[in-house]
Amino acid sequence: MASKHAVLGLVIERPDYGYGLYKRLADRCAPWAWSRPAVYAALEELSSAKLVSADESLYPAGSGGHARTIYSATPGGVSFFDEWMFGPSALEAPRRELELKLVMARPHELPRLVEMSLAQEQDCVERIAALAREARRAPGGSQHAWGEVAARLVRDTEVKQLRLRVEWLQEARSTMKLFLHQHGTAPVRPHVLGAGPHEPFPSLVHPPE
Amino acid sequence: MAALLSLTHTSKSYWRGPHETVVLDDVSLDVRAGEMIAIWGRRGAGKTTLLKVAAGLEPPDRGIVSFQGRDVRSRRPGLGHLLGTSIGWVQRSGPLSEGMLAIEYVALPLLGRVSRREALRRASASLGQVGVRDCARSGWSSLTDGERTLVCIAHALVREPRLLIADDPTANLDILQREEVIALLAAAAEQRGLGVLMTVPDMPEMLGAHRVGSLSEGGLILSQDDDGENVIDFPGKQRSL
Repeated sequence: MASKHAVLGLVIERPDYGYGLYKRLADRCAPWAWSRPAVYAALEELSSAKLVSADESLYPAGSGGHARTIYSATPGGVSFFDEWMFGPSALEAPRRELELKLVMARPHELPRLVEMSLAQEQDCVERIAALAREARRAPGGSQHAWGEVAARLVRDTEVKQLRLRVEWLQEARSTMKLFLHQHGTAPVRPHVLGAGPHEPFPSLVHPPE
Repeated sequence: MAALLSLTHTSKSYWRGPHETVVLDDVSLDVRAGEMIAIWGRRGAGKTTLLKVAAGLEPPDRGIVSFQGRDVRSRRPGLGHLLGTSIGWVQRSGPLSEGMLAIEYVALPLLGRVSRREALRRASASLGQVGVRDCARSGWSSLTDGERTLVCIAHALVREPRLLIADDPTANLDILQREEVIALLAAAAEQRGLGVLMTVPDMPEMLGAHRVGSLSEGGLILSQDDDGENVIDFPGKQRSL
């Protein structure tokens, strides 16, 4: 995952200049704490790849008469972004890439992100199955060499991390489904407690006689 | 490879007034002889319902549950008679009477089918297979949580089922006891040719299984087939544990 995807996503939403993109990125994706140089480096990389076009002839309102380079997405940039959005997300950086996709997603893209969360959960389950195969091949009994004990610790740690990721994926999927349901774009009912109509709680204060 | 137990596109809902809660949503699953499948899910994910449907304790609303290739609905009187014979269910509650001896509890499924003496002999053998023969004459109330779990497994195994179903058998156990129980169930699968379907309260317990799955919102995500090194062709000759 690179900042270029986030910057490109913002440029697709609305053409902007470098500092404006940095401010929007800081507001939108605060947890990642990208720096200004990273944003400019991303814009340079995107320009070189012809994924964004730079126009220096514009004098936007509020610029104080200074020329600013405004970046717009090219058709190639839009395709590149869509490919990233619906491509597999790296497992090695826990949640971060899928988190970024959630932040950058437009509501109509959520059903596909629901499917992608299922795919990533499948990847997690396959990884646990691979660890289980490793564990079964490990020698049994209480007399382990340290290397085997350490391998077991590493496996346990990874499984615990995978559990966190699976729980997060399930939570994210549930939230996306609920959002889609509440906005009338999902035929499926979310699986949530208290989905029925709520009745008001009775007042604890006695009404005046 | 033929499956011992197959759930094919099974769904199950519970209704509270007009509100439907989907507990199982188009779940498909095969359990084969010689393999252990561990399913993890958060509390309320539908794990127990999945096991009850698999054991024939509850019918699915949709889909097919078949045992050894036959739709259980075609059996008379249904899957119920398989539970306890071909299918063993690992109880977590134990006997109703706290004073019952472990060997008496394990022998219970055999009473009325074989002589009391034979029932106790088999119960003793079953307790030995799970490594707690020395608990045979202990009252239920005097057993530790780990011993109770092992006695419950002996109880489920005493009628030599083909399939064992266990609902969170490692709950309330410490890490060493959990590992012992998981290793025991895996050994039962591999050495005895038993199919084991169990749920686990935490993911590290899945590490002893041949296949693993995650259940949420009624959907089951299952790992692809294992390399099959321990899976036994059905019908396979059972070996002693």
